[in-house]
Amino acid sequence: MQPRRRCAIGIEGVRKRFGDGDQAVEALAGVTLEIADNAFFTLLGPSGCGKTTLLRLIAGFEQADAGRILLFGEDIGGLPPNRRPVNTVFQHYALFPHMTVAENVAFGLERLGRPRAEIEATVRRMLELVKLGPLAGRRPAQLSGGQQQRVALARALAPHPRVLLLDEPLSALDLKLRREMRVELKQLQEETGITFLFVTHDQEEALTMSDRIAVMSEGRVQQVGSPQEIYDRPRNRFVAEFIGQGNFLPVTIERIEGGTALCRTGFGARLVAPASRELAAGTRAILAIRPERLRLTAPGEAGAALCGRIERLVYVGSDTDCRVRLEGGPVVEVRLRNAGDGVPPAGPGAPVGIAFDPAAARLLPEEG
Amino acid sequence: MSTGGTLLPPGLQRLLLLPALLTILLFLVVPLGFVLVYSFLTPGTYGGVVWRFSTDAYLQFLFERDLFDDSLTFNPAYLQIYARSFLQAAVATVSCLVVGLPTAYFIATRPPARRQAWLLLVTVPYWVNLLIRTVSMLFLIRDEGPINAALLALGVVDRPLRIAYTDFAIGLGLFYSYLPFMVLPLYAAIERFDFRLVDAAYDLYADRWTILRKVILPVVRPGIVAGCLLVFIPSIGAFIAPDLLGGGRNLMIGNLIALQFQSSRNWPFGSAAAIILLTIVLLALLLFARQQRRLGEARG
Repeated sequence: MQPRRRCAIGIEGVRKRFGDGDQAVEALAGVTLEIADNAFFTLLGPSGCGKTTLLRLIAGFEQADAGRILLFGEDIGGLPPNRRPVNTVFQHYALFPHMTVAENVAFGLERLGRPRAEIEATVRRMLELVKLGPLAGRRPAQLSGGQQQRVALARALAPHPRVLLLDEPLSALDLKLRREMRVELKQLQEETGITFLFVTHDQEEALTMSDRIAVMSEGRVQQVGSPQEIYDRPRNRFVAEFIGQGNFLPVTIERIEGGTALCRTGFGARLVAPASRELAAGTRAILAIRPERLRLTAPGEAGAALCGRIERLVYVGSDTDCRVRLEGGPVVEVRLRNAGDGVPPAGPGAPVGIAFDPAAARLLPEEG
Repeated sequence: MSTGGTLLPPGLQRLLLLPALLTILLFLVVPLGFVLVYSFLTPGTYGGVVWRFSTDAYLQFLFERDLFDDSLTFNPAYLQIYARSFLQAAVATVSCLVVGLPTAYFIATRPPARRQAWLLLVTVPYWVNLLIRTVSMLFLIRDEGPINAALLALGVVDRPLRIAYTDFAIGLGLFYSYLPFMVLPLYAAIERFDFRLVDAAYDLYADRWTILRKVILPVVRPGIVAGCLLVFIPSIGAFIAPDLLGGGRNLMIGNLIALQFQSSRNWPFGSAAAIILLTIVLLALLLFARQQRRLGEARG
């Protein structure tokens, strides 16, 4: 067992409702989470899942209806935002337009009453950290979106918060810049050693930067785990669907032998997948498998679990997405790597077989 | 950047301004020219002017000419009127700011649909003529008015409180007349204010007072300055409020000018007084414009 790191943020049974009566919306329906110190932790979910509410509760802009919020073991629930040693990078940066870049970065340090010399040194160090040294005298309106983003980062990091909260900070940037910033954010987290709590609806962002991810939907945490765990072993259909793409085949579990479940689909195919503890023989389940884990084979070839006909091929650069209509059944997506040297797959209408490693499949409980 | 180019070809776009320009030329520039010329002429015995150059009007502003030996002695009476006007206008401006800022903040932070209704209420006084409003105010505050009647009946005072015909009454009149001029530009500035900045400042350890002082006020500053100018400039030259509420005893610049054209029949001096007021206002505007430009340069 790996050594337990200190817990930076503890969320214990937190609930939050907005509005009252019939219009009340339950933003958080009992959330419990532990966020380790010196980690890059991501809250991932679609809009309205409660992730931003949770962030605002930690920052102190909202008060929880129930539950506790602990910062390094200390209950901070009653403190206003200006008394919590956490800082936020806002979605639209919220830079002070009447101040220079340096003044923006110095703002928090000045409020904390740090000595002048220390403030100047810290501001210089922060601006170097985000590579904005030469722009210290500019106003936010004179900066590009990416530069403003860095000022917001420097401003929030300058007081050396115990936890940095980031509220979809990359959503306003264009794709190329977003990719660059992902790497930089991760580096910044490692260099500063500050715990980053990052909120996003972008699964790619979450997968590329995070040490751990909490997937949220409808005010609840659906699954917490490393990016690999979340991607390879989603706990339910929501997680599997929200992150990456997937094929979901309704099956009935016929038998369980050792760690392997033998399943039958509605259209008569027999498939093998690792057994799941919650799903006993005889129950109905969903067999989930990622498109890139499927292989096309010659029709009828030994080892092909499924067979069907190619319906459509979509070229997406690095890969080709291949839709295959299964015999007597649904359509599955197969993602083929375009290595450049391989034989292009047969055209639409061609019969093919589909094979996969059973370990790559995943049995999920049937919804509802 | 070129805009509005689709309605008219560029060469004809200036025509859009023509009616307004002609109006200003005819009714502002030409009469102002007369006033400027008159201020350097000699007063006629029964009003009007005699076409003889003289700087007496400006000398009279500062000095009194001895009837016998033509010697000049310094006379601060008119300067005092200007100083009083300046002070009255300054007090009115500050009062309007103190009352207008919370009002504008309140309106600007209502849900958008409600803001229009509140703004309409702010403009209600303009549905009634200023003269009528000022006279009504006089009825309220005079010795026999309802305010004094109520105070007497309640036994708060045993003699009517002297409110009408005082500097306080003038100040009250100016404050009341020009308050909407303060509220509207302040509202416009606060309405545009990005309240996420408050969250950001709060998050960065600022308390409420610091947020107001360091973030909100500096960002809405142009609105504050605009409101102050819109109250100060008409206040310093006001005529109706000091004439009616001050009873013509505590003169302000407006009354002084009116007096010269009416009973005193000294048109050149009245013109000079008006030119001096205009100069003060222009200087104030120039200072403001320079400061705005400096800020603008700093802000890019």
